[in-house]
Amino acid sequence: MKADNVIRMQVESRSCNEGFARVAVAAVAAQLDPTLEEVSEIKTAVSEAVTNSIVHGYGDTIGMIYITVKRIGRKIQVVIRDKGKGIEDIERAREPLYTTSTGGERSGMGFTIMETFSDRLRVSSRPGRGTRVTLEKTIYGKDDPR
Amino acid sequence: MEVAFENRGGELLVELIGELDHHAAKGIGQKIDFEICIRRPASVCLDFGKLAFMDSSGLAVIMGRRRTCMEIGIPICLTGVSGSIRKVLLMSGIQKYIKMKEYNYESR
Ligand SMILES: Nc1ncnc2c1ncn2[C@@H]1O[C@H](COP(=O)(O)OP(=O)(O)OP(=O)(O)O)[C@@H](O)[C@H]1O
Ligand SMILES: [Mg+2]
Repeated sequence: MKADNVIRMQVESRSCNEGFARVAVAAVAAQLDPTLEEVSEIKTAVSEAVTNSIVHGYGDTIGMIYITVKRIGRKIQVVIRDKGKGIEDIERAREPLYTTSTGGERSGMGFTIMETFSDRLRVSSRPGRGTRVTLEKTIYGKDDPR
Repeated sequence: MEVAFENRGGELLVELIGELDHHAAKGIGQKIDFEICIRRPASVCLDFGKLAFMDSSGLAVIMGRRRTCMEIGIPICLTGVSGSIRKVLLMSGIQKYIKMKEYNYESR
């Protein structure tokens, strides 16, 4: 289906850029008169994916993160892609509390948060090549009669 | 983000202000630990009431401060937790390790 609006951005894997990705998705969601809860949930999910690209994908190196935010009707689709080290076992990585980080700075909740705060989460990855995370969330908005 | 410290009758209230993501998390833990160490409070309470955003990076900040408080033998709690931040905390099961207190509005 054709998108009603598209934002593409490309940022270096520096932690100071995490906020930009959140602002972009919030800007697209704002066009759908979302509830506060809907905005903060999709922002949190996007923040998890971008942080993963920075922390795990590129680690101590700096690489590019490619972010696409699309609006298709009331649905927001966000793709976060990196060319970092990739994930060996995606199923395992998606388990709650699973982390490969050892310093105590991570808790292994990123994918669980992405899953809970979106309607659909797809992860594809190739070790040594990179990772692509696709998040989809329908914004029902403030006028939702449900 | 910013952190503000206030002594509330022996309890150190740590107000988290702004957005707590991976970027902001760097250094925040040390800053809080430093205040705990020099002020020597009877207890510590992390206040999320003015925090506009938090993702999983915040979880490690909380668990790290729990460790600090355990090491010096004082209790720690969370307060002012709502919305999606509350959901993130509950998802992680952190409430099994740290007490979440309702806001005591009169004292604010
Ligand atoms: N973009 C990525 N590139 C390489 N590995 C990744 C990527 N995203 C996730 N991973 C792997 O998947 C694991 C689980 O990710 P998840 O976000 O759930 O937890 P975490 O990042 O370790 O901790 P938290 O998100 O709670 O801070 C990571 O520890 C890492 O090994
Ligand atoms: Mg993560």
